[in-house]
Amino acid sequence: MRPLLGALAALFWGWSPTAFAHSPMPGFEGFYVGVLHPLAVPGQLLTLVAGGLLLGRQGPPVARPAFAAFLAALVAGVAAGGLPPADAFVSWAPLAAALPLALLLLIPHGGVVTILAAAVAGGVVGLGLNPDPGPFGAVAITVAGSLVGAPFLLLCAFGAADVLRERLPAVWSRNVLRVAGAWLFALAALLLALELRAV
Amino acid sequence: VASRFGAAVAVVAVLVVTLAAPLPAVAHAGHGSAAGFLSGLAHPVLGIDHLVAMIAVGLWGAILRAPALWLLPVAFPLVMAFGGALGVLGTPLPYVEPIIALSAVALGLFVAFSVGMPVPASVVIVGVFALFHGHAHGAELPEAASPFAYALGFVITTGLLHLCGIALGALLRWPAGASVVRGSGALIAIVGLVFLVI
Repeated sequence: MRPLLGALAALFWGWSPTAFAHSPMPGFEGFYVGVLHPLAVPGQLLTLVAGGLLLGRQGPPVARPAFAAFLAALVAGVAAGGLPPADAFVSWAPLAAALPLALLLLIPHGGVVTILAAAVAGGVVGLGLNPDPGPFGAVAITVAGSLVGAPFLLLCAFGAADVLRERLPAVWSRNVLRVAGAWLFALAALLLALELRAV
Repeated sequence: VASRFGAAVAVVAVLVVTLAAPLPAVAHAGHGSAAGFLSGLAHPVLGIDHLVAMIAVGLWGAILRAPALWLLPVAFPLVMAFGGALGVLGTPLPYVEPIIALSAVALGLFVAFSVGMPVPASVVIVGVFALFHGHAHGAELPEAASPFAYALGFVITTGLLHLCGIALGALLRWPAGASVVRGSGALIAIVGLVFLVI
């Protein structure tokens, strides 16, 4: 056991992040940067919140396969990440993805659409999770943090919507989520316009 | 069990977002200029024409009852986003400030006289006004030090102002409360008129 622990310690010591081209949150490093990355990128945050609310609105029977689709697409996105145009998946692509996700909160739709929407959310967020180039170990640890942080955020929004659905009369919970969807759409549209303005 | 889990996750979510959200330092919150979250929060409150118009949207929705009660607060941000995008992209709209003041006058009068209207018509009217409110917000957004934090702030405040109007509209169930609501509408129209004339 001790040799194994020693090897792991040596491995992680060797993997300690040393230098990133830039950190989205100065003062934070490694795994924690990865966890917080979806919070620091507005498009990813809006996509995950809209996606989570969407899953929560549908309830567990749809949310379970949708969450699985989200996770699969997230991992696939991370695996394919770093390919051009990688920057787009940190800037405008997640904002563009948040628009239809937020609109889906306004209109009734089937479970298949929710599952597809969750997969799109996972893929778009995953493609934007790769950190700047660096030592393999440091990159792996940061990506591992992101793979924890992104589903966690989605689950937070899911939990909030689930509470609304369980505790409020159906008509009120639907309307609260519609209002939330409208405002998420507005935020994403404004920030997308800002991104396009910079192009 | 599922709802308990959901409640626990929601509480953790609020804590995490509150503690970890990368808000900018706001030793000097922007007074009169866009800066960050607090400036965004304050913006709709400091612009009294925006403030009264937002409350009037909620009040009018309460007068029209469901589905307008929730359709107006949903339609407003959707159309506002288009106006905001035009503002961000620098596309000019004519008479933005006068129409924002006019929105307070019109919506205030609708509330004061309990004007009923088909839901599509009410959505179109609120949507047109939202376009101009959005343009005003959007034009300020590029100057914000943290556009996301600023936009998040004014979204929260605007939503809360709609909610204030809806809550005030709950007084309609009592005769005295109906007078308060109508009086509020008249006051909103007067404030709008002052902005329109000045």
